[in-house]
Amino acid sequence: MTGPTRPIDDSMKDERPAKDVVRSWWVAAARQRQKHPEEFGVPLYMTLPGAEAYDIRALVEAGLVRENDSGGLLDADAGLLVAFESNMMALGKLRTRVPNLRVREGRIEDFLGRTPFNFPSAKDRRLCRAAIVNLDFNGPFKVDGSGVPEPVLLAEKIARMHESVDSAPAVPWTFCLTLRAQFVGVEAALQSQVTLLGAEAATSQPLKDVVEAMIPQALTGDLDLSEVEDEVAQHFLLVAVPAQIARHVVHHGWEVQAIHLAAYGHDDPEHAAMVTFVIDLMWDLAVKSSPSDSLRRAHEALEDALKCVRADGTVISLLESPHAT
Amino acid sequence: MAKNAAGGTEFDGEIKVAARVIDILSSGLYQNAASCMKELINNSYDADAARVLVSVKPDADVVVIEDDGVGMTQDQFQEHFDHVAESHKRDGGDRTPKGRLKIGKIGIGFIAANELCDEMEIYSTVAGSTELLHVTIEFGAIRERPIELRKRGDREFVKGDYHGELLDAEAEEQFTKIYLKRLRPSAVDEFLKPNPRIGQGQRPSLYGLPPGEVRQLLASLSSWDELDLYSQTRLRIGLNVPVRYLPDWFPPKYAEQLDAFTERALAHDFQVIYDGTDLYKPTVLREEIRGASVLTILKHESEENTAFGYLFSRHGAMKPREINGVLIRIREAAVAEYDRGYLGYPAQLSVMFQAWTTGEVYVEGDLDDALNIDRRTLRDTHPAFLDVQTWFLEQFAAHLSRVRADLYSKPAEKRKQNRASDQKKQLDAVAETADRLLGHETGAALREAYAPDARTSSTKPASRREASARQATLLKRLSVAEVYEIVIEVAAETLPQEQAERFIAELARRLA
Repeated sequence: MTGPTRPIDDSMKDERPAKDVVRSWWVAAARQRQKHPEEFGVPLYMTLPGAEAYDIRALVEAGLVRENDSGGLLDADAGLLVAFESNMMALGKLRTRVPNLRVREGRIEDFLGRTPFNFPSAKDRRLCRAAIVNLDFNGPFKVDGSGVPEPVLLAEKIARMHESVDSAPAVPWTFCLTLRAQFVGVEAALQSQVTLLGAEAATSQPLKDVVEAMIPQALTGDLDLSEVEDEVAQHFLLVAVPAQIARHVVHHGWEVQAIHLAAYGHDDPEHAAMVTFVIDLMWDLAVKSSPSDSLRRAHEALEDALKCVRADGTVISLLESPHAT
Repeated sequence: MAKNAAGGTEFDGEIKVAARVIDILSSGLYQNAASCMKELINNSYDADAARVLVSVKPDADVVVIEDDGVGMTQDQFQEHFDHVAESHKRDGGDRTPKGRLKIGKIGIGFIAANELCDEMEIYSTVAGSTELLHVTIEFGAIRERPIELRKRGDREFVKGDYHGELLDAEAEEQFTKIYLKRLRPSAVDEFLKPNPRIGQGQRPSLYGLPPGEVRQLLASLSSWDELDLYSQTRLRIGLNVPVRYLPDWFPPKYAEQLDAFTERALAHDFQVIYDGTDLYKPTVLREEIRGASVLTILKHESEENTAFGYLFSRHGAMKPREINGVLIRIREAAVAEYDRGYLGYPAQLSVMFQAWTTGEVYVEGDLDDALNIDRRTLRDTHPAFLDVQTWFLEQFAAHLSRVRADLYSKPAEKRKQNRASDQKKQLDAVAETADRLLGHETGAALREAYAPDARTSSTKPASRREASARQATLLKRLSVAEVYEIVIEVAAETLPQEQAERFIAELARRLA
């Protein structure tokens, strides 16, 4: 009764110390925000778990979500989780493996709305106000003709939904994002990402320092994203993505702090080179009035957050790693 | 038209059934979500599945039914689904390759999905094939369409549009996966709504309970209504489909007689896992506190049918009340729910004992032909029904006689004997007082009056009639007025006036 398998499920199924480390970060983030459901009336964790639901299993093992003797989620805890799955057979597998798990059919991008102006219905928006939003994509970094990368657009939309609505206060949250270190999209729009990063680094010394250490080519415009090697692609994404997310959300009042910005898979011939991000977003109206200060703080946090997770699961600071360019 | 010999007009013709009848019959065919779900699960049984996974909770956003049965190809899908009620389910024989008697007959069961949801998605593959059939059926839009727009030709009506495609599958796999999407609000309520009669925080649910706890919970209920609707739907599905019995579903003393039913259900090797836990038949036979019960095993063989079943009665109303009655299972699937009419047994006879009884009868044979399209009712003029009915009513009457004797008359007699024995002991104590205060002759007279057998039993046992008369004497009840009446008469007859007056006054004082 299994049905055809997908690369994303195969990828998640493997015993991978590096992936275990990443999952442990997600669990730590969830633990830090475990009071949020009670405090704000929101789900604890929204995820794209894949058919195997390893991240949900990790939350159960950590005691953050309780299950009954048969392995189904307790009714009292079922509301803590929201999962998305677009493949119907994977959805069926997920539902039968984790009974009582709320799974929405469809792609998260469609659920959130494909344009900056479309949002889910009021009822569905509540689901998106989860304390942890984990978008573990197995796909590449996409940029369409608008020039705004898809993950950044999603992060901004989700942030907007965490803002104060009616009488409900804004919900501080953690954004977890995992991408393959590959680029897809209109070439000019892709290449503009390099220009953008270079331009932003020119106005922010902390960002410039990090770019210089990680991908100096971006400062001189000598980085061609259509031809970069995996490790360079990882390093570009690790800096560019959080910088762009910060730039898009500070104007709405979100203070951004990167916790983990990590590369993994580059030293494992059986797997693709990946990047993963764990970023905290705190609501502070003062940020709106002085966004440049907030951006500077976001850029200052990058250096400490940059990491590399080796295939054996050891974690090292990326700026001290021999892989750093 | 022709003329007969007398010059009158004669005519002939054929009476036909319009396809519209099937259209009407197949709408509103199923009473509730459980009725619809059991049709889909029974389809898995007919497909020789060993395991069916069902997922409903937490929000019935999508209902999942996955089985490891033989699956179907595009041709098989179209053969069965293109023309509802013209299915060839039994063309290849009455039994599946595993030897199961097929439950479905005309292929109308899948229409159950139409009652539950607006959209159904099917994935299916058969062993040895590298094709994965994927079909999406749209019911919702079609349902809303006026009848004229659903008509095709002279005789057919559209129930749903489908779109299919063939994808890749592993050759060694076989399965059918059904996803019910855009569920109708009434179905969602039945699947999940808490019981409105019970306050917040007091909604017992079967979700996630291990079998032992399910059995305990069921045994403690007066009615399934005490559970949430989710659990009631679950129980109704379990009641109907060929799943196993709960462990220890009957009192241990009946193991020899009832193990055969447990084994029969196990032999089908059919497991339904519903939201993570096994679905069981919801029958739990329990005795009331005094441990009295009556079990009758039923067996029947005739040209039309073979039947095998049991009747179980206990002292007191059968609980939960949903299992009061007799459940007929044809080809392992239940016909509706427990029938409290006991196939037409006179309602006015032994009313109390009917309420104390539950039973199941498994029937194989022609009774299947007497089953109406709704799978809830039987044609009561069909010879196969009459055959089963005649046999059952006789068995039921005999069972009720045993219930009357073993659970009612005998215990009542025993209780009477015990009461008489207690009375005798008390009178013996009174006789001793009489010995002491009035002399042995008085005590002996008292003993003789109430227990003459005490003196004669060593030589000649009392006859049954005598014993009964003595018991009646011992248990005789008198009102206060009757006691006074007797005492006054006796005092007047045996005592001088003055002593009689004193005696009565003192007696009145002490009894006041």
